[in-house]
Amino acid sequence: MRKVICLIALWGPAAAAGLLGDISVEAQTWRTMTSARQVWDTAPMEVNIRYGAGTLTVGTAESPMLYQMDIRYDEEAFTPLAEYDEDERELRLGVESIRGNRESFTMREGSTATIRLGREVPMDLDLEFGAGKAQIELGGIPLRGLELSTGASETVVSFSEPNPVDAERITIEAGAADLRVIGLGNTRASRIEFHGGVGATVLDFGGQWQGSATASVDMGIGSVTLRLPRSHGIRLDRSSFLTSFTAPGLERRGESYYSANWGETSNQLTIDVSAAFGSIEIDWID
Amino acid sequence: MRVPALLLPLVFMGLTTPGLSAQNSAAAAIQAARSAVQDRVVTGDRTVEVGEVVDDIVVLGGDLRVRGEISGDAVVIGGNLILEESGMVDGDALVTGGELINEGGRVRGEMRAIEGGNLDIAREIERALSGAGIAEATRGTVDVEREVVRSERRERRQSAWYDPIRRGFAGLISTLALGLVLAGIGSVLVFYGRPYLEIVSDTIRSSGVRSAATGLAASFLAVPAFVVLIVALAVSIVGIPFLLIAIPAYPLALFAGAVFGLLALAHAVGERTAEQTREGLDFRYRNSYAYLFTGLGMLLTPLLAAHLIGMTGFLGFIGTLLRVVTWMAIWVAATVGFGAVILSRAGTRRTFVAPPPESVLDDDLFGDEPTGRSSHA
Repeated sequence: MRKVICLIALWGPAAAAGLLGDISVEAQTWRTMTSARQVWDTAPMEVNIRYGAGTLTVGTAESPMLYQMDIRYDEEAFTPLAEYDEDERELRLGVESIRGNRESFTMREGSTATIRLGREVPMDLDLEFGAGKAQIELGGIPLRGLELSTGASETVVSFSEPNPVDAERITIEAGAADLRVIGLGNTRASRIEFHGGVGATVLDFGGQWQGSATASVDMGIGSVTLRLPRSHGIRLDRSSFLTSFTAPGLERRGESYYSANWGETSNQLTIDVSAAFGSIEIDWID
Repeated sequence: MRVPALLLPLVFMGLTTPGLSAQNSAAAAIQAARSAVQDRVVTGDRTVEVGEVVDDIVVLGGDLRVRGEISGDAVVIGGNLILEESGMVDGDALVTGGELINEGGRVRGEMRAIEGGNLDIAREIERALSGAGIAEATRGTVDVEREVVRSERRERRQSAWYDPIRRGFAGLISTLALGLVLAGIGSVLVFYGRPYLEIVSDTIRSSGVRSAATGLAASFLAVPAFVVLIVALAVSIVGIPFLLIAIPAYPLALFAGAVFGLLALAHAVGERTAEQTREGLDFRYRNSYAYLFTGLGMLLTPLLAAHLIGMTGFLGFIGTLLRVVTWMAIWVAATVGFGAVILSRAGTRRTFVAPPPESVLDDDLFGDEPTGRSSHA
């Protein structure tokens, strides 16, 4: 045992020096950057947001701002992204990894981004979020379309206010995520698609619907909870494998499930659900 | 982050940051750029009054207050940019080491402010000066600038003559740290679970090929088994909460098994070495701690040698080759050890351990070692 103590006494300082050396080699150089643009014309544009890992907050910016972005990043690992192509009407925001994925994930601690989008310019939003936590509030932003994908994350997407313009399609993809999407009715989308990998997902179809819509929910492994408005006529088609299905308030007719008011309301929602392993639950909201 | 005006000449000369030759060239570049845009660079505070129109402007070490119009870019380094309600910037408004305070003015381009510790003001000035003459330089060449920064970093990494020594030293330290961690875990294992470690070690020695085959098979089956486990838990509602435990626990258990196996193999190697040198080795060193440390030393010594060779620079490829071979050997050792862990059910069964010769059992030295399942049940 004495040998062990001697060994530790000899190696301890060396190891500590090595660890300190590693820390100094990999020292993070934190920067904060704010970037913003004002609105100069209101023609529709494409907005791409890329954020690899960290804490992401998305919200609305006040007039006359087109966008506002505050990010804290490690300069050694990331490069901020704030590019605007006036001719192509394309805006790119977020951060880019410099040295590859390994650093992106090891250095995500402390990385934050707050991005606010204006309410004056209709936009097609493409948002990719990797790992971490995200709070995405898109209520009141004029979205013509939305493609949102998250990786291994804990994400809340909410539409607390109605979309000022009609959205053609809302597509949400989740990897291994704990995802809550709230107020899908406020998106004014005629088509809503969700593709989930592994995890727990809540899709809340509440909000101020402007008409009928169709939705497809494709879930891999995990649970998906559909929160449906009672005021809507609901039709649900299900194809699943080894998946439990709990649907109080829906009546099975043939291969589909219907709410009692199906065909009697102006707003109808048709949902096509497919799931492999896990559970599908239905909750009703007023 | 403001730079006092008195320090600005030093900044221009590149004396505020280390790296004299690089700074001299930076200073020369700064001077050249500065002379090209002399009339657009202001040191200290500057105010653009109402009705005044200026082209691109760079303010160093002071605040820029805009009440009138800037027809190009406004760049402030080491100060604030205050844009009053009547102020207008047709290009970009860029601030480094300060704040951009908009009191109602209009900016046609991007408003950007960067802050943070250890900002290289000299480089920021150089960037600003080189971009100040051309509005597009600060507006549309983000990619080019980024690539320049990246290539600078690459050059810094590649060009230093001491890089092989630094890398080799870092490798030595990390290998020693790895050895220390393994030795620490192994010591705890010997102290609290020596019988189990010895059974796994004996299994390796008695059934090495079988252990290797089992370890290899387990390596291939680990992922499918994980999928089956997930599916089995996911199909039942009751099982879904257990997914949260199973998903991290399974790889953790595999890792723990591999480390256990590696340590057992190190023990086996050390024990075998002690037997080979029975005559010359003091009995004090014939114990599990000594076996373990000897084995770990034998496993990791080639790695240390590889890093030492790599430090020479010109023999780097031999070091790399030796490092690859050593890591492969460690992987093989972990696989064999993992197989033995499985065969011996983590050291609880002696099914694959050959019975020791009677002569050994009679030796007092082995009196406290388990020789059968009953001895440590």
